[in-house]
Amino acid sequence: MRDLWLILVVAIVTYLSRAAAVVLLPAAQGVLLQYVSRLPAPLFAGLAVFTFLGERVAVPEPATLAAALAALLVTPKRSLGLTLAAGIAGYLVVGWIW
Amino acid sequence: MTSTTPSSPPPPNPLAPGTVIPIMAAIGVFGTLYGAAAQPLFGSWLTMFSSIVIFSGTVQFSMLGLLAAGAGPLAVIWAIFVVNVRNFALGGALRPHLTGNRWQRLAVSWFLIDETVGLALAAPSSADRILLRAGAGAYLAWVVGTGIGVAGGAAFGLAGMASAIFPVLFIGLAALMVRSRGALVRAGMGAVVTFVLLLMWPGLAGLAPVLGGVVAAIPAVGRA
Repeated sequence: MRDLWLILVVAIVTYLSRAAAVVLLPAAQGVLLQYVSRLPAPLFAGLAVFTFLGERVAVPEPATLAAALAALLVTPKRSLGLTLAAGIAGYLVVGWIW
Repeated sequence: MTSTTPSSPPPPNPLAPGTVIPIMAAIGVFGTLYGAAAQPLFGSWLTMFSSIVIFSGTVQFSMLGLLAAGAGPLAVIWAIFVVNVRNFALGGALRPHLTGNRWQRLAVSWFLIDETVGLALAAPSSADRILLRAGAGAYLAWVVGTGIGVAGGAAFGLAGMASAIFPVLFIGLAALMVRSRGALVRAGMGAVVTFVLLLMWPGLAGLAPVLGGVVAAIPAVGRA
């Protein structure tokens, strides 16, 4: 029963943070709009670093490293499908060799 | 008729199958891992219930990790609050592009996750539609993936690949956001600041990329 209540509270906290961001808070304008439009690229780059290193901030396995490097190599194409394909290919190749 | 210069490739179509399906596949794989990991702790039905009502890999894995480590409910809720702070940054970036009324925004906010925001910002004129459609696909993939994991479908080899899929996914999303040299510099800054923060204060965990993004977006830091 404790887990059920905890899951419900976590669900509410999570949904409220989403809803507040796009419903309760006013739409950004002027300088603030300029600022928030600059946020996504560094935010996603930061998320890439965080998921790459993990919460233990450890050096990843060679295959994961290869996946990230392969993905970085094709980023000039700006294709998510191609980036994922390159990453998975890098992972499989190095995982097979290592 | 519009013209494009050789140096500016056409904007990607965020709803193209080649874009949405890889995201659904990645989310489905992580859902499978979550289902397999959570089932021994929560049981089958509660694990499924958690994916249906929360719909956030970062939040659910964090909750699971803390509970497995013996954390109490208050510690879990506080940690989840911190992890969710990044929704303010994501939603703040998306909010100017959402054209629906308050109730419509309330409805589509359910689908506000890292991946769907990245897609929506790649084509901001269709942000509402992209958030809804890509979000529905992501939600379906997450719940179905959890079900597969609960049913025992998580193979050992999957865990390693999943650990590689999410950094690759975020690299791809960051690349979609980079439309100028300034944005490229800011992305690099966001990565470096996040790395330094994680090295110095590993306990920041999911908050580190938020801080990295917030700092790198300051005009004096990454000039556009």
